[in-house]
Amino acid sequence: MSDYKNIYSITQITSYIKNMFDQDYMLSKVAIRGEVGSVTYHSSGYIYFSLKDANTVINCMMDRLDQRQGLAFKLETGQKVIAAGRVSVYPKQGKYQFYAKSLKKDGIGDLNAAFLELKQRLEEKGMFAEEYKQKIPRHVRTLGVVTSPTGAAIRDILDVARRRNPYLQILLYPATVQGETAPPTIIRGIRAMEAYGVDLIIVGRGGGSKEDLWCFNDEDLAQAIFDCSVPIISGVGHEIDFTISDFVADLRAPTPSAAAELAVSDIRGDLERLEGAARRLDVAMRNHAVRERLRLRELGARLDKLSPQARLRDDRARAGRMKERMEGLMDNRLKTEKQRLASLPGQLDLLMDRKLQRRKHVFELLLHRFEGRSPLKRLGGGYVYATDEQGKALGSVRQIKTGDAVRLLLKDGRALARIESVEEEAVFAAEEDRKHGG
Amino acid sequence: MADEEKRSLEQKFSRLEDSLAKLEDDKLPLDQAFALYQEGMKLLKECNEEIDRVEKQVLLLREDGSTDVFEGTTGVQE
Repeated sequence: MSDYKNIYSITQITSYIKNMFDQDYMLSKVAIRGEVGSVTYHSSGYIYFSLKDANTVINCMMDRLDQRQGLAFKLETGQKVIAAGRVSVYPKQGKYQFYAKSLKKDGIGDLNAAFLELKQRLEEKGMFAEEYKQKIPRHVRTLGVVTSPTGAAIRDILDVARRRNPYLQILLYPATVQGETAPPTIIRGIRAMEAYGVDLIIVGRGGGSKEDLWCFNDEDLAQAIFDCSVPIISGVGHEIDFTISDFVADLRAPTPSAAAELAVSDIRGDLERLEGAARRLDVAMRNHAVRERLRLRELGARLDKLSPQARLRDDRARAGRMKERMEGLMDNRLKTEKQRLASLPGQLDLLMDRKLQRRKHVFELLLHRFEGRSPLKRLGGGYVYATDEQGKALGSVRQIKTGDAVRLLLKDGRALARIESVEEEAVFAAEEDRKHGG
Repeated sequence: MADEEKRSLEQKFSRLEDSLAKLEDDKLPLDQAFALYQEGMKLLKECNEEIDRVEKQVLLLREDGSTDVFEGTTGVQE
């Protein structure tokens, strides 16, 4: 015995062994497949059973809480199942055993085949056809929810619905949403909601495994959804989960929350819409009023323009303008005429002057010539102007006889003379005359 | 039962939209504008009345149609 340093108690060594199991990563979370051997539903609520395959057996147990959440069927000997849970040690009996957290019937392949078969059959019956889909009302007053009263789905749905419209009446039908017993309860819920007269029904549950959601692949449930006169939104599991209920429902929501979003219109949106409509109504009406007032004013102005007074006013204005124009024209005309007239006297004077001067010139020339020819000019230098006493010029000696008085006009005076004698003589004086003339 | 009411709310909303769209047309004669405005105000009032503002408790529905106040979702999870 000297080879062994320590000696342990049974409790110590069992604790050590248990700890080894519990610390093991794989054993703390593992799924196993096998056939159910012995089964004991114990009065304590525990189920004791064994799972086996050809050569091996493992003892298993499942507590009440895990049964509620992870077991949807009655466990019976011979069933093929998949159990998820952990392997640990039960110290009191000194044996290891499997603590099952959930149990599902094995046979996913069969389930898939059944699902596809049912889907195809119902599709061929036209139960998924778009033409049978009822329209989801935008505003609902009462919303029916058929789901588990304790699940995540109802919490999510209520959260969303209350947030969007706290005034919405929600009715919940507590259904079982897992296992073989689920479909009849869901069907009853749908019918109760229809009978109550809700506006819209949500049917669904939260996420889970394919088997968890399996009850929504029930043919009777599909028929009930199809027959329901109230629109139904299905919200089963997660986005990736598709069930027969989803296909036959009037609208498929990816999750229960999404179903609530689709079912409940946001009251704030409605109220805003109302306010917006009220504002738009007001603005539009005011715009009309303003526009009409403007139009009225414009029409008034046009009418005013056409009125007799306005015409008179216009005509007067026109006449006034014409008068002004005419006066202007007259003024201009007068001005030019005046200017012309004003310049005329000068011109006349000038003309007269010229004329006068020319005349004067002519006159002077004539005068000159006359002077040249004037007999008076010739007086002096021996020449006198002789007339008889009556003043008649003497041109011939025959006018006088001796003793006649003759008046003589000289350059610087006159004289009275008496003729002494008269003699006729030759005429040369004429030539003399001509020489001195001109 | 509520089917007609809610449908009428939606109809009222859409009629309100129609009225607005028409009313917002500049070329609309004034008398028609007035008529639309009046109808719009009426619809607005009706819509407002349709939207009930009383907070509701969730009711638990039994198969026989009777209801009970739903106490909440505490407890077991799925």
